[in-house]
Amino acid sequence: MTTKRDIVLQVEDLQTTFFTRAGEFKAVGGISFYVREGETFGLVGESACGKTVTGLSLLRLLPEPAGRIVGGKITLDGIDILKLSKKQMREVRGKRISMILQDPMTSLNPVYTVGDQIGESVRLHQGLRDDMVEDEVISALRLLRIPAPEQRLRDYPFQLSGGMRQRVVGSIAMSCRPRLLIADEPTTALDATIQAQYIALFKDIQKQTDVAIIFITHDFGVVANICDRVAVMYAGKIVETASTSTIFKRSKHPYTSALIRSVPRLDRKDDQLYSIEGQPPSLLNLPPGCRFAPRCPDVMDICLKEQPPVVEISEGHSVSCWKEKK
Amino acid sequence: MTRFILIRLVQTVIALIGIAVLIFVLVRASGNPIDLLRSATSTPEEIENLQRQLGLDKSNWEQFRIFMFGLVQGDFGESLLKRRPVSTMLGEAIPNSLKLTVPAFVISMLVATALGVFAATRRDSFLDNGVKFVAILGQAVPGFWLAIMAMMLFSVIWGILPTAGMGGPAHYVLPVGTMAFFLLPGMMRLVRSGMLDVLDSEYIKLARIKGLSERIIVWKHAFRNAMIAPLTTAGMIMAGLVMGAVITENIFNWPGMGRLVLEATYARDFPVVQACTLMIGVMVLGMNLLVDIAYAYVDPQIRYQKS
Ligand code: SF4
Repeated sequence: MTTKRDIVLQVEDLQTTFFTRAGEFKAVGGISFYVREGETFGLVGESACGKTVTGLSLLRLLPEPAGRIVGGKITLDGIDILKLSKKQMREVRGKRISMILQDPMTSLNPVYTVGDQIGESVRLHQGLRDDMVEDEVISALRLLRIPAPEQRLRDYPFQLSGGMRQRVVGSIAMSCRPRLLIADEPTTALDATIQAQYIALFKDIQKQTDVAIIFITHDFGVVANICDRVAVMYAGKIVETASTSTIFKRSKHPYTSALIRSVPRLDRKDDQLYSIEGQPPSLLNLPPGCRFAPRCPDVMDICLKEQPPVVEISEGHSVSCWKEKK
Repeated sequence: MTRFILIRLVQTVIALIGIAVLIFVLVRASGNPIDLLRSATSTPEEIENLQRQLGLDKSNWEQFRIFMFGLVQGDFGESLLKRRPVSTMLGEAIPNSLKLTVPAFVISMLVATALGVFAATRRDSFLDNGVKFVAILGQAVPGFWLAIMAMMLFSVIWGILPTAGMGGPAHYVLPVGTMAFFLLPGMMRLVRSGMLDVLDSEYIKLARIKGLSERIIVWKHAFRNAMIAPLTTAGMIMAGLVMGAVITENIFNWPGMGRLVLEATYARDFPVVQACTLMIGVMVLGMNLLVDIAYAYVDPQIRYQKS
């Protein structure tokens, strides 16, 4: 990385809890990270590790009334998101922060045309006249390289393939040229070739627009393809943050290493896929020490008693593990 | 779209012919009207005369031919009991029935939609629980019982509303209310559950992500999708409307189709029963046709499949 770009999003000690009858689920237990302009930041972990809840917290769209942000600070281009009124927050959504959801088959409204669904965002956030809205819609479709945009905008979602629908979802997200895009497993539902195309497309869009992307995934293979930096999440905490190359070459946290080893690789013929034994702890009652301790091969006495602090072991590489805090 | 409507129109006509045949056979299976019309002292000749006058001496085939031939020309024949043209009787009864069913339908749809949507958007609130309670009550309590109870309370005990019959605006309150009650609970439940399903969907999440206001999310994005499920059951609702009309009109002595058809059935007044049934068929099928068009309008997938 040559020159450091501006930081678009800064998250400090974010804590999100779900208050349910069964108790308090601490879905996100105090995490910190930042994302720069034009950068793709991966948020990686198993399902229910809190990565999607983190994404929804950034938009303040937690399922009400159970989900609540109970602590921390989210700053977007210097604006404290958590201090905004509901109305101000609606102006941020779709305009400054967008999100792409996992399943393209269900994330478009079946009864409205593509043009209508993109145009709605444009009209809302840019206050354009009707005749100009259509031009913006077409340019949003072009940005996602959707062929024959003039015809496509009159189509209904059911007339499009899965890959094309996900491009339309991308067009909606990018229609107001947001500063930050949260992509929640956007390629998981697509098949392999279309997945690769979609990722290549987003790299290209990022070059054109400088959008900061948070890429939520469980798949280290995808991380290698698109992310510049990565944070690995486990049971609501970030256990390791580093650049993608560092993560793959010199990961320090036992959980990260295990995850990377469980990625199927073409250059290794030992077909036994590695999998981590045991299960993540219940978010209802978390262990007092390291949350990974019950499954960790390197567990020590202190791990069971106290939470490991976050240690920056080299520039941009931080780990939360007692092994690194000698 | 035009093709779709044309196909549905042809289907409607075929269904009506089916109804005509069926009702012709069914009324005759109920017995002979002469048994009810003649007096105990009638001689066989008198009975034969009566039969000839009423055209009941002809063979069933001949009667069917006359019935269908009349239908095509818009002639329903003459009432056996009242000796008046059936079309005149219908001309009096139909507007009276519409005066009940149309307001009842409109009121119940509006109230059901409003309450169903509000209940779904404020899930588990006081209002939502109230709506759920009314829906269960509506399905458990027979409408005719409620009508009689209401009549007793408002008309007999408090004396603020007329008991029965047709007249000024006050006469409408109880019958319209009763009929609306036949439709309201089921409709409300459908709207509520339809809305709940839709509000849970990914595209509603996406609508929120876009920064749309709750009002637009609920009424533009959710409502139109939520109406698809209730619309598919609209045929049943129409049937409920007819049943409601028959019961309500008879309880409140309202001179409409519901009362006419019941009286005619008791008297085995073939032409009247046939004509009424057909008219009800026309109305129900017509409403269903409208519902189908509305359905195609709401759901583009249907629109594209059928054209
Ligand atoms: S802190 Fe201890 S238990 Fe946790 S990952 Fe590190 S070594 Fe394993």
